[in-house]
Amino acid sequence: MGSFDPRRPGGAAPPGRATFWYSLGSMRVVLRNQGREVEISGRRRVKELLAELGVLPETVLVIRGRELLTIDEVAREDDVIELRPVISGGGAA
Amino acid sequence: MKCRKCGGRAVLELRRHNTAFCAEDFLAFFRRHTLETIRRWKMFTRDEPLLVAVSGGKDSLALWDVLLDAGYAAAGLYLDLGIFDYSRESKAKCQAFAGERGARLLVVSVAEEVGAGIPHVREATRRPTCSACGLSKRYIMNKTALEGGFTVVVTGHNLDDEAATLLGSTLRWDESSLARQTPVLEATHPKLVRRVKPLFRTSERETAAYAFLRGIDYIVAECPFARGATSITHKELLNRLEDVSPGSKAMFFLNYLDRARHLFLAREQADLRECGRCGQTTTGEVCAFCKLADQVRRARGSEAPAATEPADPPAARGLIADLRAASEIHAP
Repeated sequence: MGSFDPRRPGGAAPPGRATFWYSLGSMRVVLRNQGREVEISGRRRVKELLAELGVLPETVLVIRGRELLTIDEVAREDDVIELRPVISGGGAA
Repeated sequence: MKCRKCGGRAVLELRRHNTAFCAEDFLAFFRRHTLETIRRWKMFTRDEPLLVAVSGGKDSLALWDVLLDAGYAAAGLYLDLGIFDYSRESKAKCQAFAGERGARLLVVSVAEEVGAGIPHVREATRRPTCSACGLSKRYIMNKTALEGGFTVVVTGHNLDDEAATLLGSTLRWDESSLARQTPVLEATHPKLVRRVKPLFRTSERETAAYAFLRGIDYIVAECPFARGATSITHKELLNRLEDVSPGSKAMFFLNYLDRARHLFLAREQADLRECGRCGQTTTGEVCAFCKLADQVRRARGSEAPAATEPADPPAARGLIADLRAASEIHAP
């Protein structure tokens, strides 16, 4: 598994765009723009999932389908979870 | 987790406010918070023509969405930085957003104004990319607003942007930057247009959530030049603090405005005059933007403004190719 970099945005890619995955088990955690996937076996709370991946909750939106998840929600084994980084920028305008 | 307002299922927790909201109540909270900021900081009135600087990212499009929904006369300004696919994709998103809402969008090419797109400016001037880009943006925003009769330029800078900038200025003890950092930059010269930041109390996670829940199609890919930028490192550091102590970012920046900025403001006495070349404001004879454009033209071996897609100088070809490739990684 590659290291997770929360400042690299993921998600929002239109269908058909190249998608890459982290891989660990059956729950799939996706960062579309980052080129990584994690598969994780077993249910766990979003908070635990983020801690496991070393992601600070403040740096991402946790997306399941068309809904956002709070940190106390439980992600299930068959879920596809997108972690969409929210950090942007570089120079002041 | 339950919504504080309605008791329904929450979709977003806001740890610094010790609360959580469902989608509908979060959207209402976001709009109310933004409009209250505009009123409380006297940023602009409903009668003023606004020019909203839009990049295609979550912050500026979320802000434009709120302003249009609230009935403000808000035109968009997209600055085409010439950063390959990144610029093409972000421009398309701004045009689609404006088209769906029937809003007016002005598009200005940095290459036409400066003499080259941002990747080439970096090569021509050896100035840090984000610095040259920021200078060009501020200049063009002000000039476009003046020429178009807009009284206010509105930007999507959020709390994270402002706190990271403050951290950077503080680490350098840059008194001039500290004095200038404010959510309302008043027009202190007839050639300056007021510049305001209505999202300065809103975290970028909140603006991302607003954009997602509103179905706004924004560009998620970051600018290829932002990778490794110091400001991003500052944001990461602040997010670590925020994780341990929610509210740290807001305390750092908002308390600076309340308690410390006036100490630096007293020392800042800028004597503005008009640039002898372009007529925009400057503290010297020739403004920084004109100097930048001169550098670009000299380096590119022509006094005439370059075309939108100028040829790369030999020394730049390797880097330009790298940047183009980096920009294309996430292309559709």
